[in-house]
Amino acid sequence: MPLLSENSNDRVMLFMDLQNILRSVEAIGTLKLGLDFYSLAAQLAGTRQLVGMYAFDTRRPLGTEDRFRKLHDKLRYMGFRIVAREAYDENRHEQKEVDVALACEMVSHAFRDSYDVAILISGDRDFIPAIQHVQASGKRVEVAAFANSVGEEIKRSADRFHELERMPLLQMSCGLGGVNDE
Amino acid sequence: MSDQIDFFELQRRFQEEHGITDADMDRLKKVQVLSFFTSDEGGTVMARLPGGGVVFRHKDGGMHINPGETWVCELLERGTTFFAIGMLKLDAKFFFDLRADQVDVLADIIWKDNQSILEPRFEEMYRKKLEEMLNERLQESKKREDEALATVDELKTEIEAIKTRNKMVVTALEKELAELKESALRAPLAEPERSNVSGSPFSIELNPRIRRVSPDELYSEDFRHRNYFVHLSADQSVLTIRPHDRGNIVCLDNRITLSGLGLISPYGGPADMPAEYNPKYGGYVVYLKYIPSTSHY
Repeated sequence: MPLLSENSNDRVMLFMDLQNILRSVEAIGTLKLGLDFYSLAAQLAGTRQLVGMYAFDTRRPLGTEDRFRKLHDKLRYMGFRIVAREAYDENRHEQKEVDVALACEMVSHAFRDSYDVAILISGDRDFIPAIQHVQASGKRVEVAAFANSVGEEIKRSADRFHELERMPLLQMSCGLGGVNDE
Repeated sequence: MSDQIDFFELQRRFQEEHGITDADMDRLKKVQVLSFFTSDEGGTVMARLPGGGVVFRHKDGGMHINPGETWVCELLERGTTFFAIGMLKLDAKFFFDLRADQVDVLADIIWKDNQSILEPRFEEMYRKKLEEMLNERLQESKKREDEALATVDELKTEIEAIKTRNKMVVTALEKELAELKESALRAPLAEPERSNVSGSPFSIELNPRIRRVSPDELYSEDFRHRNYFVHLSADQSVLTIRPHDRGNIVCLDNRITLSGLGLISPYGGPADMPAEYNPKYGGYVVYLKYIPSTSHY
């Protein structure tokens, strides 16, 4: 049991690196089951006050085909604030600006005292400096990630680490097609 | 008489070995080591030769000889009386100035001359010291033994107290068990009550009985709702089944079908699955990695 246990009065804000998590789930490949983002947020927040959920991703220019647009809409419907940068590098198949946007948002909210606990849903070690700045401002940072996309360094930097493998987050179906949204 | 011959022989050898002239040898013969004292009559400072002859201080001898001092002196003979001229005072300074080998020679001579007196004294000293040390050790050991015995007594008392307490508890439990057995025999057979979560809109069982009836199908009398959400953990160890009006899993005749369950967890025939209600998830948690033996089915 951690020394700092969960406090129901804590204000929690989620910062999710969407592509990082989707890639991890894809790599696990359990029957192509989809990640239930609603359950993810609910389980990570627990009994604490969830005051904000951010999902960071890239998007294609309007008028072009974007296979994640539906997912963004779905997340928006669930209550996530989508911060989608129009900065996808087609040649290198990698997203730009996203990490910095997430780090800026997390740090600026910490300085504005918008939350008590930041939950970073990503295993990318690029966020370690941002985590340290948030911690220096007196906030707690929890990291949630799958084992296949997280390093020891970021685990140690966080005040708490959530192993997403152990959390029931993959939504099963009956094979007949049903309603997926709660 | 033979001793005298030996002594002269010794003198001759000494003279030859060290190349001493006859004149020097004559002078050397006049050198004596004398201890001076004050005579009882008249307070004269004097010494006595080994043969009993009396020696007085020479008035013009240079170095002043005091009573109680030992000196290496040269003797001057005046008729039947000898007069001593001090050459070297044998005091502490003299002995401290000796070389180590000279000290060893002296110590050897002193030891040989006094061995018969010193040995019993040393033995006595050592014996006393050893006895003292042995007594000290003995007393210390005795003290430790007393302490250890006291601790053993304390522990014995404590163990006795624990035994008595345990006996009382066992007796009480045996009595209670007997009463329970008796009341169980008297009571009519009835369906055991199952606990519900009070206040829950879904009246969920705390200890559900969930049975796997086919590779992809779960059955439970506690599946009383029409729709459920079912989630799997990525490590495939846990399944959560949560009733919800908009759940994507439809329940028919207390059965839910989960597409791909047979691939996640191998099916070995109908079996109960370990499950419990968990308020954290608002539904049942089924443990897939801990399926019990199905041999009795």
